[in-house]
Formats: sequence, structure tokens, C-alpha cells
Amino acid sequence: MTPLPRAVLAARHVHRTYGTGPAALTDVSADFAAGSLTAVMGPSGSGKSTLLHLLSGLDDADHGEIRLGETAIHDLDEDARAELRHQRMGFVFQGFNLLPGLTGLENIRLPLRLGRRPVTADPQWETYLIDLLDIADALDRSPTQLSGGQQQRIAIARALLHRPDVVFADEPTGSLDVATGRNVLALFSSLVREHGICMVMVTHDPVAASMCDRILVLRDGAIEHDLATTAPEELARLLIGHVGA
Amino acid sequence: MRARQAGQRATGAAMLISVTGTTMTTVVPGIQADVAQKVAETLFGGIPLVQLILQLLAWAFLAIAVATATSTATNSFRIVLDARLEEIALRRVLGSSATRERRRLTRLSSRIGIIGALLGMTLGTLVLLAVAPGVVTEPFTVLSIVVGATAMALATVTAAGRAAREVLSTTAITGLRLTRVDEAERAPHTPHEAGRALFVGGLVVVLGSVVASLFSPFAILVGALGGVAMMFGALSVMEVLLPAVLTFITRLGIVHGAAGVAVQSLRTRSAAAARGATGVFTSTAAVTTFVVALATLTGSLEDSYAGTGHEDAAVRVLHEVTTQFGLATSLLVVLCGIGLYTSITHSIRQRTREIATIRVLGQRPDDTRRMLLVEAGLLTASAAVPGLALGTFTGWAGAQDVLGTVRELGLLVPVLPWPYLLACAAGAGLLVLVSMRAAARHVIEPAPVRALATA
Repeated sequence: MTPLPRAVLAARHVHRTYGTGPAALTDVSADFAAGSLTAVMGPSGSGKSTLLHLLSGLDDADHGEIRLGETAIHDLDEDARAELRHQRMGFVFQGFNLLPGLTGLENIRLPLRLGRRPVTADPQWETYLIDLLDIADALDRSPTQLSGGQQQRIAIARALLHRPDVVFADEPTGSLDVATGRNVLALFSSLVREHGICMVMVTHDPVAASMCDRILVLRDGAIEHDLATTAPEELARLLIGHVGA
Repeated sequence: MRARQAGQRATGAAMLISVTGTTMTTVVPGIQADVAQKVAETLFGGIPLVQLILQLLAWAFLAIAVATATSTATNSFRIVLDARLEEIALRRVLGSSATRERRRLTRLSSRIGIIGALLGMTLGTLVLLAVAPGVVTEPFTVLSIVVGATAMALATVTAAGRAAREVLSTTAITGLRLTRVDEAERAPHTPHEAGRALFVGGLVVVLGSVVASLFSPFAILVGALGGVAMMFGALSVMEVLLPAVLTFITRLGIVHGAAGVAVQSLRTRSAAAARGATGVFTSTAAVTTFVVALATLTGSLEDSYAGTGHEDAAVRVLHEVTTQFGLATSLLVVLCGIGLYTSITHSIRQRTREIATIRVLGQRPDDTRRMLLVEAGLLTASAAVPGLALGTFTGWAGAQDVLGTVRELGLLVPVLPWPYLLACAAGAGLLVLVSMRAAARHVIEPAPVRALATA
């Protein structure tokens, strides 16, 4: 498989079934370019999270290929995948998943303490992220002392500190109020544009998806729509229309 | 389902501890009676002081054995409830009242306490029938067995009641929230001042007993009470001691990377970690007390009888005493092992989400295992080392109390046998490895994303 120009991440004919149930993903192919923010939408059980897990090497496809640049993720063993996640990927979760034993700053620097090949910290980039995310006040505090918005911004800084090629976000605004959620999305948007990061975000929220460059709508384990930036009303109509259909 | 499985595992551990504890409290008095009978058949049998010392030693032994077993059972029941917190909170949110939940917990703890005591009594009696059949029907043995078993059953029920009060003192929804937040936010702090006072008070009593033993052999009884007070006092300051030890280790700069994360995590969950470590601490202190007391007594008496013509007889008697009490001590070691296993597996399972997050962020499975090994090792060492220190002191004080009236022996030198220390280190290392591997299977074998989803 020859990756498309500027495609950081590519999936080809990916298939995944759990146990004896129906296929979670069937013959899914998609490219994700550097400097793009892609939303993955779809009803519950459509395969959104499965796609995210396969793309990030957190789960194995039954067959098909997944590449990050020239690296064939599907051929790597668990150790190599862990190292790949450590060096080249970032993660933002709906539930933040900050470590309660660490302060805000220690959480941000956590990826630097993992893995066998040390990831070097760039103090200027760290300072830039802290200023951009407005989390200077949260650095010395425990996650339990922070609001949801602050925790998510700490998690975003953690995902970006080692300058990953790709950031995966699973419902990153799901635990936030509307205003904070919009701020987080605006931040994603600017980070993608200014720093060429490839970001893949699973979301149920049409407004959140409408702020992305591209929207993949999944249904029954297959890509049903591959859209450019689309108005939230249109996305909602697409999703609700299927419910009624 | 997950909360229920965790609860069932913890209930199994509590039952195992209850059975082992009662087995020990059953075996110890029987062994004492057997040793007394055998000593009576030797030339030392006619010396009233020897018989008295053996009786007193047995009561002190029994007091410490009951204290250790009940404390470990109490601790394990706290862990049972910790594992069931979410299940209990959910039941309350869905309409079950606090009173009803308290009744359920009381029924559960009564079942564990009574069944554990009956099984332990049966098992202990079978052990006695095998090693000392002549003493099983002795009134002293029967009375001691009943006292020990009753104490164990009551301790389990009382521990459950105390833990249940704590769990059910909040509203249902607060209870549910508390199961999902950081330990630091919910830790109900026990008064360390009371623990400190108990420890210092116990120390004064033990030292006082050493002085009193110069005049009366009964000082050992007072000393045993002081030793138990010290042990319980030290238990309640474990919550302070553990983070202090961990801070010290951090400052030494010997832990880096993910192992450093494990140390920080232990510090944050110091209340839960200390609860887990208490079983290790108590058992180590109790086993060391017995080992040091017996080694110090043996060494001093062998020296004392050397060249008197009674040397061989003395050595035989001491060997008998050491072997028989060694059997009882080995039961404590089993108790210690179960306590350690429960502590480590519980500690690791509590961190399932945290460990899964670290793995998603790129930690290799082997590095995760290493990190958990460091955590388990630290937890064990930070409880076992103070336990060894306390046990050495109380063991020496016990030996001094017993032989205080024999003025010519003077001040005894405590003996901590090197083979014991090596066996301790090897046994603890092996247990840490086995426990860590068992718990790690649960958090490392599934793909990280699946571990995260089920955490």
C-alpha cells in the first residue's frame, strides 16, 4: 500500500469482529492527513471507538492494514506498539484519566517518564502549551482540586507535550459543559492548523463535529459518509434521519 | 459484575484469614500444654518456676496470637468493604436503605466470623490430634480454644460493623461519588494522636515490665499487654509512617521513571495502602517477637547451663519448646502470607484504571510489571521493616521478662537469627512476586483499551 501524499495515518480494508457477534468494522479504509482535524461520528455500536482503537494500535484488526507514516502498525507486537504510542501518539479521553497521585505538571510530563527510549522535553514547547491552555494555576494542584475543564486542558497538554504525529481524542468534550467544550474544540482546531498535528476525534456531538475539517459517519461498522466541514444541523439531520429510517 | 467479583474475592480472603487465625489460636494453647507435659517429665519438671514460666509464656503467646489474628481479620474485612463500596452505593441509589445494607453486611460478617471460627477450630483440633493428641481434652486447652475462636468471630463481626458505619454514614449518591474519586478526597482520617499515645503508653508498660520482672515472673503478662498496645498503636500510625517512608525513598533518588509514579501513587493512596500494609506489619512483628524471644531465651539458658552437667537435658527441653512454638509461629507466617497477598492484589486492582491509562500512553507490559513489582516491594518493605524492629524489641522484652528473676543472667542480649532474617527476605520476595503476578494478570493481560473500559 502506498500512503497518500501527506497522509500521516492510513487504514486499508480493516475488519474487526468481537467473538461471535456481528462485525464491529467491515472493510474500512481511510486516510488522515497532517494538519487535519477529523471527527468520527455515528450511532452507538457503529464502530467509532473500534476504529479509534485500531488506528492507535490499542487493538488488533482481524485483517487489513494500518500505517502511521511508513510504520505498519498491524505488523508490530505489543511492545513495539507501546513504544510507538509513547513516541508518536497522544491521547485525550472523555474521563480525562489523569493520575490522581500526580500534580497537574507531573501529569503533563508523565509520557516523558514512560517507555525505554527517553522522550526529550522541550521547555519552550511546554511553556507555550501551558500559556496556550491557560493552566499555569493548575500545575501544582492535584487533579481532584481542578474543574473538569482544567483537567481536560491538562490532559491535552499531556497528549501534546512530546509533539506527537497523531492525537486521538475519544469524546473529549463529553464530560464538559457547553462553553468549555467549545473552547477545547477551538483549541484543537488552532493546534492542528498551527502545528500540523493530525487529530482524530470520536464524538456524538454534531456541533463539535461541525468544527472539524472532515467528518466520517459510520454505520454498522462501515463508513457511510465522508464529509468536508458540514453544518451541525445537516449532521444532526443525517444522524436523526437514519434513526427515523 | 466487576464490583461483585472483587467483593467475592475479598470475602474469600477474609474467610481464609478467619480460618487460619482461629486455627492458630486453637493450636497455640494445645502446644503449650504439650510442652508443659514433656518438660514435667524431665529433671526441670520439679522446678515450680519453670512450669510457671511456661504457663505465662503460653498466655503471652496466646494474647499476641489472638491480637495478630484479629487485627489481620479486621484489616481484611476493611478491604472486603472497600471492594464492595461501589456495589453497596449502587444498591442504595436503587432504593436499598442504609439499615438494610447494614443488616446485609452484619449477616455476611457473622457468616464469615462463625464459619471461619468453626472451620479454624476443627482444623486446629486436627493439627493438635496429629502432633499432641494427649492434650486436646485438657480443660486449659479447651478453654483457650473457645476463648480464641470467640475472639476471632467477634473481631470479624466488630470490624465489619465499624467499616459498615463508615461506608453507610454518607448519603447514597455521595457514597456512589466517593467510590469514583481519589482516595485523598474521601480518606476518613483516624486520630493519629490516639495511636501515638497507645504506642508510647505500650512502650512505657513494656519497659516497666522489664524492671518489674526482676521481682516477679508475672511481669510477662503486663509486658504482653504493653506489646499488644504498642502493636495496635503502631498500626494506627501506619497511615503517617507509610507516606514518610515513601517520601524518604523518593528523596533518596533511587526510584525513577514509572517506578517513581508508583511511589507517588502509593503516597496519594496512603490510607488504603496503609490498611493493606497493616497485615504485613502485624504478622511480621508477631512472628519476630516469637523468634527473637525464643532465640534469646535459648541462647541465654544454654549459656547458663553450660558445664553444669544438665546441659544436654536443658538443650533437649529448649529444643522441644522451640520446635513446638515454631509450629505455631509457622501458622503466623501463613497468616502473614495471606495478608501480604491480599494487600498487594487489592492495591494493584484498585489502580486498574491508572495502570491502563499508563499503558495506553505507551508503557510496555514488561515495564508495567516492573513498576508493579517496585510498588509491591515498597509496600511490603515499608511494613515489614518496622514490623521487624518492633518484633525484635518486644521479643527481647518478653525474654527479659521471663528470665528477669534469674538475676545471674543479667541483661539479656537480643538474638535475631540470621537464617530467620534471610528466610523473611526470601519469603517476602517470593510472596511479592507471586502476588504481583497474580494481580498483574488482571491488569496487564487484557489489551490496554479493554482494561481501561472495565476499570
